[in-house]
Amino acid sequence: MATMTQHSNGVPVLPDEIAPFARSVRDQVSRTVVGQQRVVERVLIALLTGGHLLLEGVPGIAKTLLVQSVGRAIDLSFNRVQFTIDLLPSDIVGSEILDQRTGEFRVHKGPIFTNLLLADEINRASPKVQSALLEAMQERRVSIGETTHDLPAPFLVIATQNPVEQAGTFELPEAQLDRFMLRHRLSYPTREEETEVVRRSLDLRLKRRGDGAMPMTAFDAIGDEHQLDVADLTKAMEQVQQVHVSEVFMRDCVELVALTRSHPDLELGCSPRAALALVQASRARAFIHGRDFAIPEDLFALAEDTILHRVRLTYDALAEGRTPDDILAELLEQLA
Amino acid sequence: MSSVLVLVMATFATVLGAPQDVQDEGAADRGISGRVTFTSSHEDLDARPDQDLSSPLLVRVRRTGGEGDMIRYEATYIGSVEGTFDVADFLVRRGGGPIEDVPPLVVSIASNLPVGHGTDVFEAPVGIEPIGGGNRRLLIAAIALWVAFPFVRLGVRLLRRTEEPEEAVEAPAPTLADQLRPLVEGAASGTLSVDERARLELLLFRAWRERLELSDADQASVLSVLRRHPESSPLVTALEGWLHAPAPSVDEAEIGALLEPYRSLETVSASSSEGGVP
Repeated sequence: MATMTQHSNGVPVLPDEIAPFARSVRDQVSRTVVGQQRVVERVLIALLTGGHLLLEGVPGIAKTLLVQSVGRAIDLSFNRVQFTIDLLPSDIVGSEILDQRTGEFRVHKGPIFTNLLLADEINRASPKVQSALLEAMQERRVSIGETTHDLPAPFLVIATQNPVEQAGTFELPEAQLDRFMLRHRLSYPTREEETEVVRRSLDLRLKRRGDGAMPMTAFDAIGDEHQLDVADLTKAMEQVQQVHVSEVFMRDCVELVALTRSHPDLELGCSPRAALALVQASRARAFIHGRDFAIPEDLFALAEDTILHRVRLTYDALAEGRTPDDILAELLEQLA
Repeated sequence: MSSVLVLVMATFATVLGAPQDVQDEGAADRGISGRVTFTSSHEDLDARPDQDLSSPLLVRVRRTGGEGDMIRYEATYIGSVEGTFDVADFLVRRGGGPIEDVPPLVVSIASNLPVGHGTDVFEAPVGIEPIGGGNRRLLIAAIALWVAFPFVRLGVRLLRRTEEPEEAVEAPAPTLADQLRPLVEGAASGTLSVDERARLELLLFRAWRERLELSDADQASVLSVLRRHPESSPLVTALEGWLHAPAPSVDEAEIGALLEPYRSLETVSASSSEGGVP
């Protein structure tokens, strides 16, 4: 029997349903990561729909730990690349190396050949590297020398951006931001969550290596066990494809995207890719919440993550102190 | 430009080796060279050195031979003004002294320009009068306008600010009840389009949001609350079953019955937060 919870204003609310697949991932991730349920949901949506995810948030809020935990929960391979100004495309994609014993070139595959790639601080790399990654994200294959190699399936890029330190960064242009299905803005944990983080850190012991030892980190606590694998993920992806999208829901999505193109405070509205992302992400969210059809709640929950990185405010609107969030709230009001 | 033209023509005329450019002795058109030949006992005849662009006639002289004690000269001239002139007036002796034995060398310069055009070869044709009195004045006027523009604009803004704002007469916004009524009736009769059904659903969400005083909450969480709230969830889940489920779990009669209270909704306006949902 589900227990009744309360909204922040005291309104009683019945508990939410969640699909077994999502619950399993969430449970396993919650062993190492405290809170961040929405981020886990967004990572799952990206995995289930084959989209890519851009996480925006300050350092130190467990982005890497979370992504690695999700990967481990579904037995996915995971790589992390710290983007810097001197990074080269071949550092990500790979290159051909001359084998001096055989006198022939052999392919050295880069870290992009993985299921989950965490591109940390993507805006610190040069535009050349950014485009190489974004091209691979789009085509899901890369060329090394004269040979084209398919990337493993599933392939998901989770890129991060630090919104605070902008010096020496290369801001992703709108056309490239559009390639990310979702952009999710991370926030600091609540006090309760942060207390729990500290409490868990006190339980971490020493990790012995030979005669020496070093303190364990949260990464050591992830563990190797997993209840799901790639086949389960594939099955879940198939189920997402079966989620029904009604004509009314499609109208809501298309209307919202169209409204971004006519709002006077928006210099650049959303491309049709936004409507596609909204519908696909809503299907995945419906699946995660145990439904076989998408509803307006999915649209309203995902609008921020699918719309805001695809619009640009006018100078007048910026001068008046307006924010994309204000405008999105207006657009959602105008939907009716 | 015109001076260059005249100099080129004068230089051309001194060549004198091109008979096709030279008209008959005693007559020539303006700007076209003519020539006269004469003899003199003086060996040092030359053209006057003080000729310039304002001279009616430009003359050049060269020796071409001798006839006994007499020297043969050829004078080439270009007329810039219509009229009759004596080429002898344009001759001097290099060593100074009077010219005694050169007869009058009268030449006639004719003009082919239209009547009334004037006689100046270098006069600009009518219609190329500089606009606004010349480039300099135009430039000064443009700079003055450019400098004055911000002041004028500032003045206009200040004037507008001081004007009393007119009272805007706005049509009253349609109330939530006004917007809902035709949609509820359409739902009962089964005549709603996709767009109208979508609007009906979102307007009902708005009504419940105001009823539960959730207007300040973010809209994503509001819908989540409405789906699970004991009072609103029957309507919200019925709407989902009707509008979004793959096989509608609610028929139109049930929806009509659920929506019946909203047909006579009177008190909630589109922007008010007062109650009104049954």
